[in-house]
Amino acid sequence: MKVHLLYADREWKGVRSYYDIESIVSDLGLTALFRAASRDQEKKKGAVLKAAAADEHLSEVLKKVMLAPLHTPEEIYYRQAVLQDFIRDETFTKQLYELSADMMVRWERLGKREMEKPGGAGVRERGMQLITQVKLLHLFVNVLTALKALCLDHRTRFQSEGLNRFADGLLEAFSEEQEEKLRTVLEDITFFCDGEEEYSLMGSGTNEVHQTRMVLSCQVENGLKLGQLTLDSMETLHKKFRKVRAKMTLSEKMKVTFAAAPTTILKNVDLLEDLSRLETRVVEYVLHCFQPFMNQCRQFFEQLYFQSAFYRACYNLYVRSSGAKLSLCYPKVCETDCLHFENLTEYSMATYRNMVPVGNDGDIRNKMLLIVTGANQGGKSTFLRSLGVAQIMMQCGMFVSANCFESGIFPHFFPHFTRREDSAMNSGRLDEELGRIDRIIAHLGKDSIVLLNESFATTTEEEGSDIAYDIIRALTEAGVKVLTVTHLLSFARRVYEENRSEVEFLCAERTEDGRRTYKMIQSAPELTSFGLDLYDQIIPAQPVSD
Amino acid sequence: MEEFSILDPRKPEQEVSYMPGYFRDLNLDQLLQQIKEQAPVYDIEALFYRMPEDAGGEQYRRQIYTDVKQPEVYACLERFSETMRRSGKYINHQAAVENSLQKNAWYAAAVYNYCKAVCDLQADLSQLPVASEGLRQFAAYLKNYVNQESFTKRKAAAFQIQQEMDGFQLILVIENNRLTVTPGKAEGAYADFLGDSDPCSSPFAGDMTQSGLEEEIFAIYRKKYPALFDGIIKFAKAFPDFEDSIIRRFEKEIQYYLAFYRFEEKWKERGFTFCVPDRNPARDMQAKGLYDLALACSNYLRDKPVVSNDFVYHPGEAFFVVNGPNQGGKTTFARSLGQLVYFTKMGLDVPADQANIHDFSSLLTHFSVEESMETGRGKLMEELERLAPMMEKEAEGAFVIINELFTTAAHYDGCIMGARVLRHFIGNHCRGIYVTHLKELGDAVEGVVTMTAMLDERNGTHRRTYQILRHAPLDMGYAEDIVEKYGLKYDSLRARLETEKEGWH
Repeated sequence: MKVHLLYADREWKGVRSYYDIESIVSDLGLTALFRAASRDQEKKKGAVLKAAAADEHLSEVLKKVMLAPLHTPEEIYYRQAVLQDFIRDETFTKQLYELSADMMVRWERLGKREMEKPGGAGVRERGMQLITQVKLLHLFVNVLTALKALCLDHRTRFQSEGLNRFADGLLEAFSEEQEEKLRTVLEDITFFCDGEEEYSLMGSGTNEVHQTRMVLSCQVENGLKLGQLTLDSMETLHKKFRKVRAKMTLSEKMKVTFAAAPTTILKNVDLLEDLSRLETRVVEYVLHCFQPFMNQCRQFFEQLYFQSAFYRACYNLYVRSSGAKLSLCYPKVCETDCLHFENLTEYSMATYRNMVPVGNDGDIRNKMLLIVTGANQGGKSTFLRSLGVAQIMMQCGMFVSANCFESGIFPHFFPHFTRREDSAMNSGRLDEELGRIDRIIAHLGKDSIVLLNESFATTTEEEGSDIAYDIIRALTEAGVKVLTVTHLLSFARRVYEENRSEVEFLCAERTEDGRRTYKMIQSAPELTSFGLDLYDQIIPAQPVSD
Repeated sequence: MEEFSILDPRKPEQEVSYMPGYFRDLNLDQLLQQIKEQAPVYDIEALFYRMPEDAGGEQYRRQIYTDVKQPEVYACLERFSETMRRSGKYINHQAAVENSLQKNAWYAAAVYNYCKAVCDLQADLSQLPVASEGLRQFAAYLKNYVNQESFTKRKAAAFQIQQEMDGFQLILVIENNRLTVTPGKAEGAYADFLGDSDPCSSPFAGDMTQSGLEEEIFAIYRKKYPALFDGIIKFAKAFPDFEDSIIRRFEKEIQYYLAFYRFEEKWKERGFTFCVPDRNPARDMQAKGLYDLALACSNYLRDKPVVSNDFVYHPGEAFFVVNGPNQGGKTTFARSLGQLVYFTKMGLDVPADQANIHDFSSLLTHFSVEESMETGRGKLMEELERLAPMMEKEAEGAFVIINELFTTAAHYDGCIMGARVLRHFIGNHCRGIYVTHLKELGDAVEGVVTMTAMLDERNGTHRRTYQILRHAPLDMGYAEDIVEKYGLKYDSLRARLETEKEGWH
């Protein structure tokens, strides 16, 4: 019984996140997304109304899944297909998540946490724990039944491999036969839960006094101690009909054969206590036989609660974005040196401000280094963030806010953002910045991408340019893709003059009259830009032949 | 044979119950803790406190340990120990329970296990190729023991009862408070229906005393089927004692070898090296790939490797004087030498690739301790007071390890005192190692070799290598700027990325 809605071949377990996820979240402003995803978005005549309280679970799950990259195009397309099914079938999406969330609430109420702790020693406590286990088994059986019904209702609409396999797997693992056997055993151990209100609510619904009957055989061990027990029959006598068993049990034969066997009626309190220990042990044994099933259920429901939450969260974002008329697309995977996008917008900001930002187009082929220059307030950082957010969303199988988006897969994703307001010029800051670079380098891997936003601004322009040049050159030579927004013009000019084919330069567009359009255009670094006159006086700009 | 010890070829002496002084200095206490864990039931700690008296005693142990390391020999000794432990456990149960029928039943089981352990070991040892004097003597003793009539009779009776117990099965029928007991075996129809093969253990299994329910079961059963129970009672009356003190002693002392063997195997599996030390006085004393076993064990858990070292004492060389930076591996090196001598003298394997060790009368250590607030004495005074008895008597022919003497004395005084101490031990035919921060000490005395904990000074760094080499003392200095600190200059970064790329998949 597997969920497998996030991956075709495995559950969500031991998944490796990006390095330093907190930097990714704060540099790309992802918190806004997590928050928006936690609220159910209701549509009414096209307008989005905020409804329902925030479901923290949804944002937690979205955060975890978004920050763990997929590694192959197949993985990405698998998740995209499942997501499309969920977005198409609103009822299924909501009911599936509701069912698994409700399951969790009941499970918590039964004391999920206590159950996970190692058990107490006392007989009485063990008895109580067992009763809880019996109730939990009941709960699993009931919820699985409901889940099966839900899948049967909706499965004709499933187009994705993921949801079809989910439904098939469930129907196979929780077969009629399995269900029947479980319900029989639950019936047989009713005596054990005698007087337990909640149990009778789930069970037969009556308040009969039940009677036990069990036959065991056992090996006698050294020191005249009872050894291993073998259970021959067990039932709770409270119904007229007898269960269908293949043969006459030994207990029935014994009534005939051993009528004169040694017999005693246990009256003494201590002996009755011992007897109840023996019964408890037998029930424990019976339940133990269903441990594999229960463990499977535990994992299944934990996974389902987690995995369905991801799609539920995406669904919320989708409803909100389509309400805001933001255009979304399912991205395509291409080679790592290519980057193609049309009308790409910054999704975090769009979600946060509930608006449609300026979109950018670009078609950048065979480039491993992208240098964005231009005057301040031109939208450079927003542009870099839009690329970062889109990359992260693509790599977790989500949609992207663009008309189309194509990029390579970079499981090693490192933002290195310097926030201007706290970039005081002192060696402690540079130390911190370079320390971060050092840690990034230690965590690089095959297919790495580094987003540098105004890095090395904590020292002089000249020093900063030298540092940037050294580091970026070494990184690109090692095959690392680098996207950098920079105001270090000596650096940009030096790279530009080298005229290397793997470098692309973009500029924040400025119209003749100095107006910012917030659009990025492919162009040489603006060597004579405003605000840099002073700098140009000191280091005169070289005429550029292009 | 009235007395026999598998640890000592001569009349066994009193156990040493206190930890020798060098134990803590060499971190042998940490190692002993781990070795002890390999034989949890036995109290073997004290066995590691006493060294064999002479080279003969050491050789006696080494031969036995060589036998123990053969897998078949190890396995049969381990089986023996396990069965003996079971017998001992049942004797404890017998003493602890009240019900007299049950007391006798535990007794019969204890005797059975004892007889079985002894017979099996005797049979195994007579077939296996044991070469050591100790194990051969013990095998001979066992052969005689198991053929005595008192033993054979007892054994036959105990085996008879055990056989009946093995086939003893009951059927219990419980209908509310009514309990019916009959002999026989049920079919397990419900167990089959559940389809799970995991056995269902008794809820009373953890307690050696019968529960009230068990007493009741056997009481009503005995009324109808008395034969087996009467047999058990008769057995206990007929054979009131069974244990042999030489065998019990062997059981405990053999754990010395078994525990160390398990300990050694455990670390070998994790890539540690051990070897049997050579004992050739005609060749130089030396070792290759020597490491501090205690440090290696604790570092392993933190995934940190340990550096190993080589050394040799050429003819005429008596002492190593080791200089070098703090945390550079000087003390670790000294400890590893001490451990090498200790395990050699104990007849066990040593933590090195290869080693040749000379004879030493004893092992003496002097490590500096934290200044004691309680005694109020000065540190120098305290050091000298601990040093005096070492220099008085035991010193002749010992292996001596001195770690940072006279750190609080004036430099000039320290050199003079240090040289005197060295001359004293060398004059008494000792060998050893002297860790010090005094650079001049190495040149002051004849027969001393200066060694240094080395630094890697390439690229302007001062990385510790933990290598201890024959080398004059070093001078040190530091200078770095931020970019270089992180190795982010183009050339070094490029080189670093080249290396790291090999690890990318």
